[in-house]
Amino acid sequence: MTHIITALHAEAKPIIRHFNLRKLENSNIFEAYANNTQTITLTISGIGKLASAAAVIHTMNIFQSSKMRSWLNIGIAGHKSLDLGTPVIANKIIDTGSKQSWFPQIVFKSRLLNLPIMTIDTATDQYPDGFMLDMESSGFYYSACKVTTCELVHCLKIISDNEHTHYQQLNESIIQSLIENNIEEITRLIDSLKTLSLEIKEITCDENLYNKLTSIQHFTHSHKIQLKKILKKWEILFPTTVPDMNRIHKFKNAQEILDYLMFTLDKTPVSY
Amino acid sequence: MINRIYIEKEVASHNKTLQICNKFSNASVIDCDHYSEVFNRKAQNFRLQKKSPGLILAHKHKNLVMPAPSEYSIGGDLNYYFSHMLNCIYDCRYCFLQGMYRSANYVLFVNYEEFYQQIKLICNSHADKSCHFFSGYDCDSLAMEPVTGFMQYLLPKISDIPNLLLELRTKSTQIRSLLDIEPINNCVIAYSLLPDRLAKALDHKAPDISSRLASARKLQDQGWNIGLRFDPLIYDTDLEKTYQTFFADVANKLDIEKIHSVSIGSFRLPAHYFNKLSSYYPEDKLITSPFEHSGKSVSYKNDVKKRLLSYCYQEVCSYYPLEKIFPCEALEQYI
Repeated sequence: MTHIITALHAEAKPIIRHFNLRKLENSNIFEAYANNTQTITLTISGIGKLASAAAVIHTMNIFQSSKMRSWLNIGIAGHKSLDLGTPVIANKIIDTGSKQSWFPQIVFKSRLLNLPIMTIDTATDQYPDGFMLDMESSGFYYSACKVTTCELVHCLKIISDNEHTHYQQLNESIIQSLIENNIEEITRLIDSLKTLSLEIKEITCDENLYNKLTSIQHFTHSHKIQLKKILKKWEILFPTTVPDMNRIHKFKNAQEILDYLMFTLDKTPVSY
Repeated sequence: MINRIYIEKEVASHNKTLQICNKFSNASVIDCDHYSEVFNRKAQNFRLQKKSPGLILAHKHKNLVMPAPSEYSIGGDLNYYFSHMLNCIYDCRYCFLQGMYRSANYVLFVNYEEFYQQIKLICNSHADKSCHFFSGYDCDSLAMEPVTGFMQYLLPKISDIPNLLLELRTKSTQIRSLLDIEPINNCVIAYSLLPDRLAKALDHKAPDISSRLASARKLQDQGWNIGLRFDPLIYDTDLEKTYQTFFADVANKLDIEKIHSVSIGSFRLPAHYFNKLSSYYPEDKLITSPFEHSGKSVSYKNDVKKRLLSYCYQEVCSYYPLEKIFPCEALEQYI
């Protein structure tokens, strides 16, 4: 699942259209959208780093986000000399207010240009050399990295203004076109992040077997965690065999079941 | 290979920095104030970063050379380790680095001259003692040598320090810089080895065992001291058969009379490193091994450890003289 945060409606609209996102009725603090399967969500934060940070937390709450989900801040940014419409991924984020820096880790293959970005508090037409300028990235990144690992958090910016074309000339339709024209890059980036997020493994096990065993005896929370780990090992060592249920039914408590399973696993040498 | 290079402002104009940036001219160059801004911050995932690690060029200010843990000895009076680099290009499943660091980015400290000064200072201040220095604790000593040129810098300088011995721990076949110079008597190239089948399953991205042995043999033939590091030993179904064949193969391919030292130890990790490893790779066979927590560490259960260590120790003893064998953990109760 990918959570997208945009600051403006105009930035959101082409994405909403492209991914067939629908507005959530119960989302009254920030406007939030999702596709049918909730694999892509979009929240409109409004302008500014605080708004963006708050939108991340709001999104996390309404979609019950887990660590395996990726986060994307998509929006427009200024740059001294880059052509309008150039998509750029941020490789360093500097908050000009607090002077803090963050370094997004681009560990997937990408043909996108990557550059540092400065998050500023008020819009300007003074463009520093080598940096993009925006008003959200630092707040977004700080907040999203509280929710998941930083490799899954990125800021994709479309250059909307430069030394020759200042931000005052922007309007809703220009902003929509800038995003619209980069929808393929956005899709590619979402796909890359989705693939990457699959590398984060959660300890899962055969749910049926887990439910069966936990219905036989009372398992405490700690017993349940142990059981999941043991059943995961069981799957690896005995992919086609289930534990001896007749024997398990004779045990008096959860600990005896765990001991039996562990004993069976431990006496089985691992074959590489 | 490297698609992004982070450079501490302090080393931006260092010669080594410029050389490396030239080598990776397509990489994005990103400046930072201190390497810790990028490396090992919270909310980083070693497994994800391992897919495409960046390179961080930095200056090491303190703790350049540190006393080595007590079990890290091949007979020296004083033992030290140093790391000109943090993290490794290989991805060995049992490696403690994946538990120690949240980040898989490589950190290269480019102030080589200060490492050398520190080593020299220690040797001078303990002139009556043998000082052993271990490289390859936080990285493979040779794997990145074509990029770093660290050993090319250091080895000629330390060759005439009489009370020094330098161990380069490696799995690498990057030995060109060693073959290009005269062998240095107070340096040991120590190869980490495992039975081939286990290495294939666990030593991801590392050269296979026959390539490692071929490199070791080339170096040995040229006059370099070669050490053998059977650490960690990994428990496996056909343990006796697997290790018997393996030790015989190693002895066959090298001139065993000339082996400098052999060390031996079974798989063990601090418990919190092991827990991280299990969370990154819950599906890996290594994690399913019969381990137990003992104090703050995780190792094989006693009976398994005894079987593994006693068999392997006896085998090793059949090839190499006792005075050349150095256990990496207390063996008395197992052999």
